Amino acid sequence: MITQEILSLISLTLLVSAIAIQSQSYIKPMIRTIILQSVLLGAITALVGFEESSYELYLLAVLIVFLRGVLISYVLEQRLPRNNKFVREYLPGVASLTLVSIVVIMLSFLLYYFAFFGKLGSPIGAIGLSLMVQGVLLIMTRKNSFAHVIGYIEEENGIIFIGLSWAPLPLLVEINVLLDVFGLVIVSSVLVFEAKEHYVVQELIG
Amino acid sequence: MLTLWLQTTIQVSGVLFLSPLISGILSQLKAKVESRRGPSIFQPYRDLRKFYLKEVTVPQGSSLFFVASPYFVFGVYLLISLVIPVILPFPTAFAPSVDFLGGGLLFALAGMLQVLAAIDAGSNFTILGASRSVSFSALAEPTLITVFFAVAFVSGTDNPYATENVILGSASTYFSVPHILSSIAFFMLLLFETGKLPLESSGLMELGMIDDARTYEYSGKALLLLKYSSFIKQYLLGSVFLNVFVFPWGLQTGLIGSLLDIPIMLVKWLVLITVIVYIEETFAKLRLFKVQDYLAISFALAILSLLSFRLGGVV
Amino acid sequence: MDFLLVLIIAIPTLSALSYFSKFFKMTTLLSACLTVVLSLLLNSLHYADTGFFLLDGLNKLLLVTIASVYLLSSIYASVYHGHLVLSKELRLHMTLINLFSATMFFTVTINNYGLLWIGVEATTVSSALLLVIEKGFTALEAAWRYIIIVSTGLTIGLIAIILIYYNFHSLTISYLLSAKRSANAVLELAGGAALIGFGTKVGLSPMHTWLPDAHSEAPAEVSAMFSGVLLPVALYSLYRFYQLVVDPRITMLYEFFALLTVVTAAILLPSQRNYKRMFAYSTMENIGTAMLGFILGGPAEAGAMLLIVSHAFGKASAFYSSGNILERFKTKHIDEVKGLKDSMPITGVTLGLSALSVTGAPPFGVFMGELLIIFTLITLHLYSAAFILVASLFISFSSVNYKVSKMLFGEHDVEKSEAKRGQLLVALASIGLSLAVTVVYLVT
Repeated sequence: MITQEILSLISLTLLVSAIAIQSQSYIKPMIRTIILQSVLLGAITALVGFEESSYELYLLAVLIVFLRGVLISYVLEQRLPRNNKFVREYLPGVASLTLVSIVVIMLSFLLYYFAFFGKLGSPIGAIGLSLMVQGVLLIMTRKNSFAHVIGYIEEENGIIFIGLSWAPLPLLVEINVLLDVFGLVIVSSVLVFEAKEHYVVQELIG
Repeated sequence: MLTLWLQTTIQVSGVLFLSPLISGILSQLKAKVESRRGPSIFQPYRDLRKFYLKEVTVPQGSSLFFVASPYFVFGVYLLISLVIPVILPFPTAFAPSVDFLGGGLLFALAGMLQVLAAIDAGSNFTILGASRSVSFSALAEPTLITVFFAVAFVSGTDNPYATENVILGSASTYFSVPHILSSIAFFMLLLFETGKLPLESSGLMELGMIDDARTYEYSGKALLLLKYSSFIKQYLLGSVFLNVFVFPWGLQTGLIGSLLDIPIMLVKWLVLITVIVYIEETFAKLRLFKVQDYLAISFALAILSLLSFRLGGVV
Repeated sequence: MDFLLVLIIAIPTLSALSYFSKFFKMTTLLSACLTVVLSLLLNSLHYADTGFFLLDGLNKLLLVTIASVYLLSSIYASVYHGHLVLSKELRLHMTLINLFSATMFFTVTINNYGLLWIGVEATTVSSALLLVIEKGFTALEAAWRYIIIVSTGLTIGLIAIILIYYNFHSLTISYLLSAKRSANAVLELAGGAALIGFGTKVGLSPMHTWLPDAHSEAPAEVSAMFSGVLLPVALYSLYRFYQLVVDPRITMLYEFFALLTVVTAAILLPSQRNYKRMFAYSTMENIGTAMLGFILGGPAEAGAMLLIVSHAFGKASAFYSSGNILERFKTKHIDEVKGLKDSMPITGVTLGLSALSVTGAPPFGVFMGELLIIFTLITLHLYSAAFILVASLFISFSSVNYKVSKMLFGEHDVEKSEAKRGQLLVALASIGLSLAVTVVYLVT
């Protein structure tokens, strides 16, 4: 089926973009890649909506592309400082990060296979789970605040993908989830303005 | 039976004939792009003849390994040229000796022999090239093997010739995601293994060289064999890329067909040479530690092509 | 009845709009009083289930608790920060407290699992900026950790909601709780995912890493709201998921995490050097005990409810007292605060009493709650769990009270100077309420 093939192609591009975000040291390309990921997610939602002839999913696709792709990235880019001091993070081990993310993808596929696949029967949710874990991995391995926010957005993308592949939630809930995430990004953009890098703080140990 | 042996000879001699020619066309095209006059396309043949006539010198601390390894390396590459579909689209006489995985391992064997001989030579430049080669091969060799695995999964067989025929046959296999991803990964690997510019600059005493540094202490007939081996390696990898991954069509069967295959391969190679020259002239050389990142990305794509096959039912 | 519930959510939300007016303090206090009255009114109803809201035995008491701590915190905030910060930031702070309480009311009464998740996430979003009214570096760091860790964890809780929807094709809590449920694998997965997801917000170990930072770096009234009501609200949401999944393996998993929380808190408490952090860990331990009580059911459930309500007031008083101490001594370290009984007598009294209250000394409500829970554990023959619980409670009790007594007694060289009247009143009122809970329980 032609839609199946397009679906698989787009989902694999999602995975490739997750690896691309993981190995990126500059912030602006990271933001562009997350825009790409959100747009692809919107495209997948529209495709599934086309296949099931459900208008709710079309609306959701438009919302995803608009809220997550355009608005969030606009908010984040506004907060990037004008001088070049914080747009790049010094990352010594990009190759090992890429390899770690590959290992993490494999592990999440295994986890999906053992935990979810037998009961739910939908194989493509594995990509959603691996996107989630990749988002958490991004947060874990970076000290930069923008990277944390982008990792959170990636994790939400993964959850929306999982929801699409198992059972799409009612539209009210989905819209509210999207708005919540948007609100969170607004709030964290205020905080990002204050503190852009995070190190171990002495008073906060123990 | 006789035709089989004749075709085998045609394959090997085609490889031996075409590989320096390809390298010559490559350097001529690069020179034209850079607005130079450049060497003629037959210059590598003249270089090889020059090496044949010179005398062999051997460094003082080296052993028999240093002297003997060029012969082994050349032999390994000749064996590989029998196994993979570089000229003929059907199996030659010695084809069942190794399959795709074995082909990848043989590439690794040849590289390892060269590295050990370089260490045996004991000079600064050779150790430099050997250490770089080994540390990058840690990422490049798995990519090579994984790419071959991916294409074997897609076509259901491990025999290189059969793989080519399967991909020749069906369009859905050709456009399937594992195939696309593994082709991209293999192209990135090809640029590294043959020492092309964003990754490795070849010239005289360049600080960025990897492949040339390993053979720095050789001279005479040994250098002839090693230079020829690097031409053959470039030809083999590129031909596998062309014949199995990207453009399997156009190869003829039969005895006259196998003679016609040599010019057909040359035409296919011209397209690849154009693409490679474009990449070489456009990109600057990557910082040395960035080469690892590049190889990690190609490895990631190769693994993804495997994983995408195993997603089961969707692809 | 529906109208009352809508009102109780709408009033704080609307008063959050007072950001744009001059009378924000007055609006906040007024809305807090109104919500207290409304919640007491709602408490008189027995069980109500409109399509949108749900009100049963669990949320009624929680509503009253939220409203009361909201009122106490608003009074404290208007006095504490009065001279400390500029008007614009104070304005944002007070209006955000309103919004925060509105989201908590929303979370506690809503009848839909998806909207429950949204409510919990909304509490995170609205409370993140409350931490940074004094823009110190550690406060910013703590606020960032709070946002990122809690949001990331809560996203895993969405998996549970998707699974529930996949299984039942409905997300209404009252419908699902009364439907016939059998143990199947999808619900098990939902229970596990909810534990990890919502457990991050509750502060279960090992997802608790944001808790000490956020609770210790926040200003005093925000810490009181966090420890006193936000964690119980999150625990309520987690319990709603637990009620849906009926499976002995999931019960064991939840019990394990609850006990792990209590043990972690007990292990980390003796080494604390910062009194606010110490109280934060004590919160963790109390919430773990309460969760254990909810899971066990029976009299332990009543005990857990008692524990939560009384702990809310006691911990609020503890944090108010520590706010007084911080304002006076300008340090958060235990070693640098000495001789409180002479230099700040009333605060010393509230501090000591609240420390006793939250660690489970009689006659405060926390003691009764813990007693009921341990009693249930023994009747269910879970002797090892009871032993672990008692040992951890003992360790926490002794460490907290030892440190508090170090602060109270000892040589002092500062003169007597008490905190403002408003702050004192609030602290005292909380302690009084904590006592009152016991009295009310024993009487009825």
